[in-house]
Amino acid sequence: MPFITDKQTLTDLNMLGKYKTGSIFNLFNRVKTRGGELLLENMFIAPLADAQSINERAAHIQYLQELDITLEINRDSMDLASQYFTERRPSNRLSAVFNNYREKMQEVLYRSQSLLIHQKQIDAVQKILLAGSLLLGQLQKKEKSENPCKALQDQLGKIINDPALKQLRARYPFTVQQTAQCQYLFLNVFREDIQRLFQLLYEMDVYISVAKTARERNLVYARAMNSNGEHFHIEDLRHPTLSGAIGNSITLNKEQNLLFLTGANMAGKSTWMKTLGISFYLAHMGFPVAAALMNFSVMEGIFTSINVPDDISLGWSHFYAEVMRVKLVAKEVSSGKKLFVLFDELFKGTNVKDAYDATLVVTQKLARYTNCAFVISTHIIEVGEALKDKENIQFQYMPTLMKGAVPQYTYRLADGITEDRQGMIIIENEKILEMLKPKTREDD
Amino acid sequence: MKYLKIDDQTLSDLSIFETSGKPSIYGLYNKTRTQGGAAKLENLFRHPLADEHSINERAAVFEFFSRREYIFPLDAETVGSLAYYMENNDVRSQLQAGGQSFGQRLKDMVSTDADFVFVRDGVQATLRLFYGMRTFAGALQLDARDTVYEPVLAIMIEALNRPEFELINQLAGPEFDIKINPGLLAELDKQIRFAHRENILRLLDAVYELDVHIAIGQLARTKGFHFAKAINRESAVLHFKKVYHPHVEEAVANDLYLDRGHNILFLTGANMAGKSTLMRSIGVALYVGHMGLPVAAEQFEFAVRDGIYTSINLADNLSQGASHYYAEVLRVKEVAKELSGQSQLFVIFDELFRGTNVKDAYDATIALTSAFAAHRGSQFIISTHIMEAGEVLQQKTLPISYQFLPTELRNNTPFYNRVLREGITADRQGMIIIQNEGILDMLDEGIRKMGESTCHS
Repeated sequence: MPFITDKQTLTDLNMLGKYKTGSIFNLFNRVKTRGGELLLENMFIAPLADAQSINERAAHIQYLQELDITLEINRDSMDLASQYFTERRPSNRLSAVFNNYREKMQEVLYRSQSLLIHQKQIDAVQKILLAGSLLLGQLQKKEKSENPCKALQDQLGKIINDPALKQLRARYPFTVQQTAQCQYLFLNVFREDIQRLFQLLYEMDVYISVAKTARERNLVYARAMNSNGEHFHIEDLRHPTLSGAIGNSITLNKEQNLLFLTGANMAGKSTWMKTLGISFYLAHMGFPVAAALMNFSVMEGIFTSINVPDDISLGWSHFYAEVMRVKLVAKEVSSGKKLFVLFDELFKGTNVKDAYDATLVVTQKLARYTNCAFVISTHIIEVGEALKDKENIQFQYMPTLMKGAVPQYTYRLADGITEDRQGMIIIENEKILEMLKPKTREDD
Repeated sequence: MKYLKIDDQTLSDLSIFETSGKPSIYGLYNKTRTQGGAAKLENLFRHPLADEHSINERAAVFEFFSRREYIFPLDAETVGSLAYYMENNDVRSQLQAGGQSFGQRLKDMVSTDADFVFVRDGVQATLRLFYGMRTFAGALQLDARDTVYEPVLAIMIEALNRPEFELINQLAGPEFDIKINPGLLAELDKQIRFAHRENILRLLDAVYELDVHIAIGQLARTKGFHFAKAINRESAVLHFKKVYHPHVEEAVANDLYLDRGHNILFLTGANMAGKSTLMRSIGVALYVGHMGLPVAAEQFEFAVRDGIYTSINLADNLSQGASHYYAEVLRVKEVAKELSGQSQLFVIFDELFRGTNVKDAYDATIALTSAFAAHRGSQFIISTHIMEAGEVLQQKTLPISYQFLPTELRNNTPFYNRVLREGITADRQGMIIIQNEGILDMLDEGIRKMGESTCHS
């Protein structure tokens, strides 16, 4: 079953987008080949949905990171080489020879470029084979007894070490005869093998690229578990792209499946929720996360509502948009799916009375779905007071400290509901009310 | 002259000038034909006036032009090429009379020299301008008799008929291109660009002004805008009849009256009910009124203000790391500082303290609204979601007018009629929408089903 999410969630978390600054895709996109990039994109679009494949992929990446494998491959050569396989398959050796002599004639007669282009492409294929063989060499040299990449490595070896390819002595610039020989070998005999090799290289490219980011950023690999009542347990989790981000821990399980988050506007509520969403998503891709430890049981999807665009000019009521979003999630949740749901500042588009009632009742009703995990943040701390006796709700807040007149944020979660009243403190500190006091010479 | 105090925030809140492609108020009013006219109008927009006499005087001139249809007597090209011509006052480009060698003449026959063309076009434009303006001024004289415009027109006519322009006036005629020999052209070039430069530039300025007058007059007539009346600042009156937002199609008009007895409008209503638009339309009318320009209202009287401060849609840019709430507080502080200096202001605060928790916003709204109320000479419009704050304020006897924009539910969709009503909104359509969408039932149903399935299994 595919992992469910939607466009707004991906936007909220800034997951995709090669051309978006700070997107999570860009964080991991260090690939050297176009095919690798496509593969990476596919991994982002379709996270995995079972614990085994998640752990397997994570093990691959982790193994490559430990071995410190690098891939020396030229992007242009890879492009040229993959282009070569759009050519027709020569039916036999003779027709390959015939083809090449015809192209040579065309070159002599009217300076046709096709022979030259084909020779360059053959050269590129050879370079890719060489790159593959270098990679294989590294893998074999550094190989450990427990090798999760064994299957990949063996497939790679089988193709690279085929005697017919290995003993190919032709080097650029080729004679017509050599061109024909290579053409027959690449496009006929080993066509499928080489294309398979390319796929393997793309895959390795992605893994190595992710491993590189993991090493640089000190990321760890989450461990997927089969459901055992714990939704997830994460220690010292940070936002992966923010530098100097502060870590926090979280555990949600069947007994406590809802985190009720409060705190001032700038205190870091939204960032924490985004961090949770991103890490949850990455973990389901088998990718590393910025934490000290993460265990999670595989869930079926994620929905977030962070920064719902407050665009009044669209003429579409913000509140109504939020309600429709909640409805969508309610539908998915009530159908029994196991989801992770994050609502930031629910119902901020309406008056306080409504927002209070709505937040309270929706939170209460959602919390009963112990299969799902929820994080709900709000400004209306009174809702928290009303929910206090619910045992399956965790209360945490992002504190604000006042340093003189300037609020400071620790970004470290504390238990409970915020009681920060720095709003009035700031007003008092700025001496606004004194300024507004009627002077002796007031005009009435 | 005293000017109204404004700042970038107010300009952008009211969309006075264009930002990121949104329609601007200046764009709406700018129907001028010439670039110089547009620049003049922009200058008016940048510097609204702050004393009643100059405002009313200026308004009277615009009103004169709105009474009858006048057509700007010149085309933009004529004015443009004259302006371009006047820009170059380098003596070396002056056309030399006589002394043209045979070779020079031969060259002219083959291809015309660019300098010559430049001067010729400029001189021709001058002649057309003089003719056009003279004719127009003559026709206007009758209309302008005994009006505010009469002295302005008299100055213009005098400027056109100065003795030093005798040669120009002799030559100026209805033809587009007037035949002039090279010697005469050189003489005219000298007169226009060098000898009488200042007077020509002054005349050009008068032409731009005429352009603005005619454009605004026409706008008032076609859009049905009315001229505001500025009254003594001490009265602190703000009186609108049927004010609406000029950018909104089929806008609903509202009435509003504020004075010393009621100097605060406490505005409530749902998000989409039109609070921001109403506040903007009032702000825009007052801003434009201070320039003496016609406003989108049936009738409008206002006590002249020292400044306009707004806080609508304060940029809620979390990524910038600046606290929204703190930004709001600083804005309030700015206003408080002005008020404590005995300025009489017009202030709009939309959704005051949206960026903080409800308790704080509630306390802050009450404290500040009460404090503002003491400044009877200034007027405030304060909108909020926290209607509870309004209820508390109502207990005190404060000079506050409570009004709201209602929401009705028609077939589960909210409907807004955008007409102000007395009181504080009690609309609770928020919960009704949630109930109507069946979200709560859906969640109950899911739990029930799950309970059943676990019982069976």
